[in-house]
Amino acid sequence: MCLRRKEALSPYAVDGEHSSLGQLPDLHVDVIHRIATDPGRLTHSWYKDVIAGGMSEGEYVETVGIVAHVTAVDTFIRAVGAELPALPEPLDGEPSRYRPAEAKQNEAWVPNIIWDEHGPNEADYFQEGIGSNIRRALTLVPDEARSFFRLSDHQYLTKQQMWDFVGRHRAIDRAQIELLAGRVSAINQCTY
Amino acid sequence: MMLRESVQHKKADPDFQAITGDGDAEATGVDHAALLIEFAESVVAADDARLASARGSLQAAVGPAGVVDAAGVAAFFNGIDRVADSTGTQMDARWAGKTAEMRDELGISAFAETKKRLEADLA
Repeated sequence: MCLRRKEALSPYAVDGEHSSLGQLPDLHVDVIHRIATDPGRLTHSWYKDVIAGGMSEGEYVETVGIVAHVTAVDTFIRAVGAELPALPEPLDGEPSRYRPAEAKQNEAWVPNIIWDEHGPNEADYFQEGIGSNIRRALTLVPDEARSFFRLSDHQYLTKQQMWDFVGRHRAIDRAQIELLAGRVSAINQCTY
Repeated sequence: MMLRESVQHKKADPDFQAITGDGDAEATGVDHAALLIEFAESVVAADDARLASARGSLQAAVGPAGVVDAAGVAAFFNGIDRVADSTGTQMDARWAGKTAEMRDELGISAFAETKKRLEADLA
């Protein structure tokens, strides 16, 4: 179904069911597939329908974070020609369902924390000062934000390195890094 | 914007049309640009044979460590694009004005127009 949606003029005109293990609600499965396969054509109306359909904002942001982590890791493994490892076994226990009191609607569909309005629990994440909006995108679930941007340090650049256009931090130079980033984002039709 | 900033000290008048797949890669002023673009495209396309060929060609040019770093960058942006687009994160105001002309020229603004059309269809 994802392939038919991808080929359709509107991905919202194609209905059907995804193959699934049956362990998640259909809505969650559909959200995961849409983020994974056609993120450039997600819309605010679609997001609002997802939330109205029963997925909490926190569940949605955590789902985004998980899909993004898995995409980044799996893409890297494929790109270097290695074998994909098995997914780890789920851990016992309940999710914390922690939601920072400071998160609110601002410059995104999902609530997030504005740079100078964080509380003490998120001080570690915001200690380096104002960053780009994308670094706030997952802060409704702070551990997702922390973990995803640690990936940036390893796969791309640290926050400090990002603003150093002259120094060489990788085996390829900065212009080569940004050309790769730009081409991948254009293929994904990323609007950010 | 990051690409423009990183190239400006290497080439006086770079042309970035290759970012959207329509231009001459070498006109970007980036070393081994055509090989990097082919690598990026084959990573996202999930075409194993094409990817193996692109990886080999890139490795001949930038070495194995260069391939690992190129793979990391392509992988991270394949992930972060999903964060940006599925959270509806707006471009930072401090960059939007500076990059508007460039985004129009490259056709990147058309991505947002597609979203607006889909939004109108759903309304």
